[in-house]
Amino acid sequence: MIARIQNRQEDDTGEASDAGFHQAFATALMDEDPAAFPAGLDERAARRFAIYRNNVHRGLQEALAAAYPVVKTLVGERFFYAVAADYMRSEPQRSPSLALYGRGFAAFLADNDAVARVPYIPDIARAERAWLEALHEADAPAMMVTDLAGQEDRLISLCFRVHPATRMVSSNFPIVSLWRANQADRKQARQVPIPDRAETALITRPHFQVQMTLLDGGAGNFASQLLAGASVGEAFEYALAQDADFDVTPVFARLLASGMFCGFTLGDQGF
Amino acid sequence: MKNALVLAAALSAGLTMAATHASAADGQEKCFGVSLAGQNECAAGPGTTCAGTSKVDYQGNSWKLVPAGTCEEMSFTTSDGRMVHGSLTKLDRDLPEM
Repeated sequence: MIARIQNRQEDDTGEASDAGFHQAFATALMDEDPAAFPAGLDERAARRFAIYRNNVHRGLQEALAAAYPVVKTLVGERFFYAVAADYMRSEPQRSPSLALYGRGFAAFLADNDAVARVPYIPDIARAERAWLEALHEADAPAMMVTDLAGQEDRLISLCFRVHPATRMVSSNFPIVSLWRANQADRKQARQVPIPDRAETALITRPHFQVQMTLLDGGAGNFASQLLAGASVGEAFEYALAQDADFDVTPVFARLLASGMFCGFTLGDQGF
Repeated sequence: MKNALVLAAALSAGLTMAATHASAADGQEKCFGVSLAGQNECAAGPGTTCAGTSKVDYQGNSWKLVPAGTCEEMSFTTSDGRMVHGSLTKLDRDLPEM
């Protein structure tokens, strides 16, 4: 390939041409054609551009691999990197830090025909994304159980403020069991049967440590209402309407101790 | 309203349960023999030096921080079908082969 040596400053000067070059640079960076380079580069610079381009692609794909390790394990490395290469063209990097890159990856996976044959994959990706967000969220002191001292008679009308790092992902599939069984640092495959059931992952960050708690259907219903700002009484009514056997006591205890809240208010409506 | 009284009692029981759990969890204890391979927090002894270095599941000389008071209640079934328990002191079982 013979590229004409060109000095773009000879053609154009000023900010408009810079913006044009930046745009061409960004476009060539994500071009499907591996030989693409922005107009205005000579041959040597074009070769260097190819190296830079490769590093950028690699960086984005590795950021996804680091953020979605269980998805990578489940679909296999080759498939994962192929999808990651497609995905990075749909989500341009917007921040100098790649820590939160990959926001739309779960939705992207859900649109992939091959992934559709393994229908729980997008939900696993949502749980992994929630974990990553919880890790990087702003800090706030979690509500302690002792903060509720004196409220014993008003528990029904309490509403909670949600801790910034709290996330919840509900699925029709056993995402928490699958997630736990596929942790990357698990050296020995253990014969843990994966139950065939719907699971909800509650992700919290008490004491700076992200943790994933398994909620069953009833607990998930109850927690989702509290997260949406409902009072304890309202959340209970909702959960009971979904499941007449809903047992609120252990669920309430677990949620209070999970660190998912950072405070409470007294709702005005009595039960 | 009767339902409200039942619910108030159920919630109150939940609060008590959470308070009991939380006060126990205020402290953590080193629990030996409960960590999965590679997931220990720290450990001493042959075959492993520190965090993330345990070689086998439930390795007896690796420990993990767990809520105080829960360690010795933990029990697991190993891959070869034995029932093992957590311990507050170092264990001789499930050591990696040197």
